[in-house]
Amino acid sequence: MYWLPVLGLAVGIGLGLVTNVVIPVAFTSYLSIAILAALDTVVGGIRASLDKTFDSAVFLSGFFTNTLVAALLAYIGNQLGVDLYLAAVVAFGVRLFQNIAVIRRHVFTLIRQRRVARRMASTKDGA
Amino acid sequence: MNAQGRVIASLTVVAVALGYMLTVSYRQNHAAAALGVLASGSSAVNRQLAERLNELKQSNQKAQQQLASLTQEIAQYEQISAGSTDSVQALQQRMAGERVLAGLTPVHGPGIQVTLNDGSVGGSDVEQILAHDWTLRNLVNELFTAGAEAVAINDYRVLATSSIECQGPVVSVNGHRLGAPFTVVAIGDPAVLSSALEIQGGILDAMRQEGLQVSTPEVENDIHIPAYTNSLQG
Repeated sequence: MYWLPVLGLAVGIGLGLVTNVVIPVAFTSYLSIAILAALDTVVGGIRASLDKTFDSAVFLSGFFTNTLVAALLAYIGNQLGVDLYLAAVVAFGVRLFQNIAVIRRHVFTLIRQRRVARRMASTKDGA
Repeated sequence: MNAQGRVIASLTVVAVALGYMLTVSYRQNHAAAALGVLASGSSAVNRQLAERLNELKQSNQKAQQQLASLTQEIAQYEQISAGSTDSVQALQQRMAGERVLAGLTPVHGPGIQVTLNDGSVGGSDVEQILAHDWTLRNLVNELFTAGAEAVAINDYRVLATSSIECQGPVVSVNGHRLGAPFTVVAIGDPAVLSSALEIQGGILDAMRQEGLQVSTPEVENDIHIPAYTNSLQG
């Protein structure tokens, strides 16, 4: 079951390689911002699932709206002559790091719990 | 569907989209980098453009050096193959003369050097005291009229086909943008050239009248003038 997202990633990469979609050069930077937003949402989703606060509706809508809003923000910034994409980069970048830190902590806790459980089991066997 | 299943299902959906976006963006950036066009404005693009400019400049320099060495080689071969018959020798001599006029070979010899600079501000009209393209053009024409064999402005060879044009705040010589001060060197009979320029009421007097800073023509025994490096067509 856990390998399904990885498989999905591979399928997505394959789709991208096969379909040969070309985005107008002017929109390349928006795509980069959108990818950053998407990455942030994915990491946020993983964190939420570890926190047991995961909501698939929030996650899915967040993924697509965040992506679009980030690209839109960058576009508006370009039109206004303000580097608004920096706001997206900073916001998503900071959150990305925070979420990764939280995930790391969760993983450590999980590993420790498992170790404790194993020790408990072994002492039970020994006794 | 249980909670775990939901997490995995939505993560999978999102992973497909993310993978797709990543690939498209990656391909896009790759293709754009290959073409040398990226959305302008990002620092990566600017860096890339600066790198390309540097590369071009370097290859340009290399090509110019190569050109110079090749011309020299050609000249050597011609000397080696200098014919025994008088007619061939005469032809070759004539060709050497034409080469100097066409600017294909670097030349050196006695000549004069004049430096032109913008005048100091103080008058009413700044336009008046700037060294303009026509100032340089008049000077070069005067030098050629006086019998100069080769003329260069700031080390750029000036030929019959050269252009000396106004380009806003700078003067373009053969397409190279130059700013004041302009050092004009000419190879020829130094006495004739300097007296042609310094004649009473002559061209240098007229320039000084306008307010330009013009040095007196300095006679030099051995002036080196590089070959013309632009393409000869046009």
